[in-house]
Amino acid sequence: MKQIHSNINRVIHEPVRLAILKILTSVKEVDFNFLLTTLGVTKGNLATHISKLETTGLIEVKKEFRGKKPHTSYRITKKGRRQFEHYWENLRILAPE
Amino acid sequence: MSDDTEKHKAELEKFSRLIGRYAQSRSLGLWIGSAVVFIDAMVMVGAIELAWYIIEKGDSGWWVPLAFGVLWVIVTAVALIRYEKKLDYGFYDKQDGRVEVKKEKIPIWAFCAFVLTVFGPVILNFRGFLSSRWGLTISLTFVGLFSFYSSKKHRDRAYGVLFGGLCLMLGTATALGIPVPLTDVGHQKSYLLALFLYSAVASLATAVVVHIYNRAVLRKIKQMKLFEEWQGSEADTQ
Repeated sequence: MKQIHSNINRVIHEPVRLAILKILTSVKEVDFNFLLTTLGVTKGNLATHISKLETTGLIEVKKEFRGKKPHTSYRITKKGRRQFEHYWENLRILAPE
Repeated sequence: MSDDTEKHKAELEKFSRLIGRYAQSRSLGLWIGSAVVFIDAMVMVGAIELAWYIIEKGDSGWWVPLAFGVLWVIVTAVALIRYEKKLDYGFYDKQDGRVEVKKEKIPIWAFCAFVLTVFGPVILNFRGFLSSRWGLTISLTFVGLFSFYSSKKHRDRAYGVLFGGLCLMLGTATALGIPVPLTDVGHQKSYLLALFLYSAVASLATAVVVHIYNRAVLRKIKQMKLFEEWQGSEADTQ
């Protein structure tokens, strides 16, 4: 059980980050505003979670200019997708019916 | 899985489904495009009728309204493309943020089949080989079928299914004998303007309905308040 516990990804095992990853698995890419609108969290809170996901390599950040305005969008990485699936598998083992 | 985890997973699945529905029902850009096509069709009807009236009166200058009509269509089409490009087809982006769905490419053969099946009957009708009633029925049917197909590829189901359904309904109504409008504009005996008019009206109605649906889905997403319940058991200590 201890082994499975340590297998639970603590970065993913947080409601807001879990929801961000879930969104990113169902679409190609989103921007900060979209996550803000749909998740209903504060800007600071969201920025912290995104930064955490980015530093662990679960999502990738694309910065570009749209016209003269800077624009940042996010998409899930292969690693992120894999770990997201593992997370649910481990959770299923940890908490069986 | 435990009840709580199962419940959270189900909520997350529901949330993800709503996000998918929301992302696939953004139709404001199409609303503007349809309105422009509708106005263009009406301007062309006016221009052709006016040109014909001048010819019948025996006056010169019949080409002036026609030239105006063609110029109007070109200018509005270019303005529309430039406007949509400027916004990067993102009519919701400023307000709700940007979301891109995973699209599949529509193969060239599908576009060729679309042009052939929709505009082939128009040419046959213009040449007198096909009646307006059956020509319009065939064209509308294939516009509808292509709409189903492209909406599946481009993940734009809400619009594609409704617009395709409306086109099929209009096609069926025409096949059953509802008179085809605008077939006698300029004594040309063509249903091309009727095809544009029907498509524009169907597209306009669809875009409005889909936009209302989109707002309802967004409201539902916001009302879910996914984290209020979860936060009680999960502190953000990461």
